[in-house]
This record gives sequence, C-alpha cells and structure tokens, in this order.
Amino acid sequence: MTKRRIEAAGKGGEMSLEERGGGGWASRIAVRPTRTIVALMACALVALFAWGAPASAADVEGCLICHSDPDFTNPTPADGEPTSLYVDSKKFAASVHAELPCSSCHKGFVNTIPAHQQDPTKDYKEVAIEACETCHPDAFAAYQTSSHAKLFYQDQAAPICISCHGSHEIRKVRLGAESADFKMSMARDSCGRCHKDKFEKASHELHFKALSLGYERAATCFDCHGFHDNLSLKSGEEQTVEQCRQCHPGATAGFTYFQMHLDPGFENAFWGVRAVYLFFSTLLIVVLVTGIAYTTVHLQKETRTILGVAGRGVGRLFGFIRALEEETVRTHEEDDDKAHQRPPDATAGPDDEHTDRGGVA
Amino acid sequence: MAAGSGYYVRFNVYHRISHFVMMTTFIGCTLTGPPLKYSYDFWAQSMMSFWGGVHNAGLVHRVMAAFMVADFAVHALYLAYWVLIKKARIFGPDSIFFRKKDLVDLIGMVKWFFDRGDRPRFERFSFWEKFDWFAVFWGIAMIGTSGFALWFPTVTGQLVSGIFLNVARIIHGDEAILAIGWILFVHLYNSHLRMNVFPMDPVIFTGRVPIEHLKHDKAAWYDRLVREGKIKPE
Repeated sequence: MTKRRIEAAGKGGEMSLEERGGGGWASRIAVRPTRTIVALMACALVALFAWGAPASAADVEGCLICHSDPDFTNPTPADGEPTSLYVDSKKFAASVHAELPCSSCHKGFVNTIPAHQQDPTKDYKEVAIEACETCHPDAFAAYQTSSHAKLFYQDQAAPICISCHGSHEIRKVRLGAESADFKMSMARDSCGRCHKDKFEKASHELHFKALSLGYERAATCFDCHGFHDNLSLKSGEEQTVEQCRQCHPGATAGFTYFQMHLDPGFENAFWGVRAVYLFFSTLLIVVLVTGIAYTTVHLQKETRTILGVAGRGVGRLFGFIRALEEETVRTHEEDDDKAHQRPPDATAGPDDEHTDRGGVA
Repeated sequence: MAAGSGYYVRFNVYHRISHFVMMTTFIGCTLTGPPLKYSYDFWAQSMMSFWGGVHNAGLVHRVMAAFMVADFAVHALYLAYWVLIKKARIFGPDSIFFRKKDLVDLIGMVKWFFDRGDRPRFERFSFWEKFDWFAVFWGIAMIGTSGFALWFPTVTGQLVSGIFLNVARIIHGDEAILAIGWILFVHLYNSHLRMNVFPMDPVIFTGRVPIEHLKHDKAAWYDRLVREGKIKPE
C-alpha cells in the first residue's frame, strides 16, 4: 500500500515537470524565481509527508503520529529507566501484520491520549501472548506444551511469541517453503540468541553448512525441534525418530544416535568419535608433512643439479644458496646495464620531477 | 613389445582409461565437496553457485563417486585376474605391490637427494608410484565407505548406529583433504614436474615412454627389458 503511494507520488512529480514543458521551465525560473521556489518547497513538503508516514495506510487509529518518533519514550517510567515507545513504521509496513490496526494486538488500550491504560493486573507480556492467541490458536496451544511456556509461567523473562518472532517486524513466510536465508536467520537470531552454544555446535554440522550455502531443504532448528512445541529430543526415543522421519523416511531408533550438536574438537562427544577425529587429523598432518618434506628435498636436489652447484653434502646446501644469490646479482647487473644503455632524455630523473612540481606550485 | 622409434609401451589401454577415469572423477569430487566442508570460507558460496547450488553439486559429487568406485571395482577384478588366473608373482619386479626393494630405494633416493650416493636403479614401478597406487586403496576404503554411509544415512542408522554418521563425516573430510593435498603437492610433482619429465609426463595418457628416458629413470627395468630382448639397447 505504502509503496504504491510513494510510487504514485514519484510519478506525480515527474508529470508536473513534463507539463511545464521541456525547455521552457528553465527560463521561467529565471523570470519568476520566488514563485518557483515556493512551488518547489510545496513539492518537497508533499514528498516529505509521503515518506514520513509510510505505514499510515493501516494506521487508521493514528498511533504512528506519536509512535513513529525514534525518541518517543514512556513519559512516566515506573522503574526509573524510560522505555522506548518507538515503532519502526517501515519495518511494520513490511511485516505480515501491516494491514492490521494496532488495536487488534494491543488490546485493552483506549484511544485517549495520554491515558492509554490497559488492565493493570496483567503484565504486558501476558497481554502479548493473549493477543497472538486470538488469531493463532494452534500455534499458541503448541506453545503452551513447550518448555518455553512452562518456564514463562514461573519466570516472565522466558521466551514468549515475540521473543522469537519479533513484534512489529514479523515477516511473511510461506510454511514449508521457507527460504534458506530465513531458516538460517531464525536459527541464528531467534533460537541462537539464547541457545548460542547449541547453534554454534550445530552450525559445524552438514545440515547448517548446506543451509548457509542456500540449500533451503536442509533442516534448521525448528524442523527437528518443532515450531512452537520446541521438543527436547533424545537419541532412541520414538518422538525423535518421528522428527527425523519428516526428511529421512527410513529413520529408525538407531539413526537417532546421530549427534547434531558436537563441538568442532569433539570434546563433548562419545570418546570413540574423538579418538577417530584425533587419529585422522594426526594421520592427515603426518602424511602430508612427510610427503611435502620429501618433495622439497627432491626439489632442492634438482635445483642444484640445474644450477650446477659444486661441493659435498651439507656444504652443497650453502653452495646452493650462494649460487642463487650470484644468479640474482648477475641478473640485476644485466638489468642495470640495459638501463644505462637507454638514452638519457628517455627517463625523467627525480631532480627533474622536483623542478616540475616546484614550477606548478 | 617395442613400439618403434625409441618408445616403449608402458601402460596398456586399460591402464590409461583407468587412470583417466580416476583422475576426472577425483577432480569432479574435489570441485564439488570442499565448498560444503568449508561452507564458511569466502570462496565456498561462489564455488557452489558455479554448480548451481548445493543440490546439483551433491548430484555431481555422487555421480563422480559412483564412477570412481566402479573404476576401483574393475581394477580389483583386474588384479584378481592377474593374481589368481595368470598366477603373476605378487612380489615380482613387474608387480605394483610393495616389496623390500622399495624401502631400500626410498633410503637410496633420500641419500641421492643429499649427494650421498647414486640414484637408485628402479624397476617397473618406483616406490612413489606404488605409494600413489596404494593410496587409492586406502582412499577408496576410507572415503568411499564413509561416503556411502553419508549417502544412505538411514541405512547406516539401521545397520550400525547414527553416531557412525558423525564418524563418517570426520573420516570423509579429513581423508579427502589428505588425498587432495597429496595429489597437489606430492603426486603432481613426483610424476610430472620432476626435472627430466617437466612440465608433464604424458606416459599415463599415451602409454609410451621414450626408451632414452627409461634408461635413466628405471635403470633396473631397462636392463631387464634388454636382457629379455623386449627392447633394443640404445
């Protein structure tokens, strides 16, 4: 909606320029400068309003008149620290709820500024989850069974809907066809904000590697742990097998002993996994270092043979370095000779440059 | 057996095709696998995009792997034919299996690097050629097995346990880096960039080696071929 408005405003501006006539408008500015300036200022004002209130299409209640100001804070803070009351109207306009009026979620608010009183017996977080429940009862019911919800009713610092989804900036998502970028950012910015350790460990695993390269079919946190019920999955359990089967139809209980959250050094893994890791890492280093060392000594022998360095044993190594130095010196001398053969006026010496610059200054 | 005009046919058509398939499938896997392992590195995304995304790269990787394993299987049959039916001497001079002389040659070669002796007189296969051949066995056993385990994860889960998928990924990645590093830094140098074959040794593609080169590079074999009347002495 807003976008269309801006486009329309842009088009309007172009048209008015054309109407004034291609070559004629410049001369008119010269003839009537005051009028032109006033007209331009009027245009600028219109443009300013068009840009300044982009979400106002949905803002039928006019909330954004105050709340789109980034410096707008709670005038009477309860605990001393002023709370920001700013709503990023651009983000809201891009959100999936852009078409809804504010009061559809912010229930209990009365439109009498500055009262704005809601039910004083309820914490705003409780109001928030109830607001989501109105339209998303299934998601809310799933949330109610989750460990997040159980924790919330004891400690209100625990995650509620808006902790993961954001509040005013909830994005449009087509379930089952999420983009890899979205899945990645949900894992990193939503789940990973509290479960940083789990996310970082999982990100070393192939699912997340594929996802980070744009493979949207690869599983992210919620594909295994569920969207709202955030299951705690244990190896060998029936529920885990079912979750795996969404993508791996042949999954069995044995399959679920795969570990998704191992650290890169496998220190938290079963000792056998760590042993395999240490063995193959050591093998990799030992074999490659040996092979490259062998190749290097082969190379020095051949280089010495090509340069025809005399001497015996280790003495030859020093002779080899000396020969290389001599070779370098010889090449440089040849270059110098070539440089001296050039006619003197072909190159400008550093002194000439100085005089030139002095002349300009 | 002498190919005329100073060349000796060292590798038959099967050998050449076998190496070509191994080489191309190896390059194919090398270009499709690492961008997933190093997904966080700056080059990974563009390398994946080159293949048209993770899905396509995975497809190419699997097709290449299948051909590589098929190549290996044919080679196993070829070896079985020589050992079981033709009763070839496993530790004979024409064999590609390791034997005692290889260790002696390795020590001799290192001595030669530091001018403590003459270059060893190699037989048909030098020890680095034998090692490269053996490395394929090790590589297929390790990378191939772990690759199949990752390709069919639910089968792995059913046959053994899901934890073997974690193990398989460690082995697959580490051994792949080992193989790529070995080919780049050791095989390419020892087989192609050595002074007397620089810039490359075409023998594995043409099958033909100049007898003059053979005389220097594989002195013991050259002597034996002359003795057996297979080539004329130069």
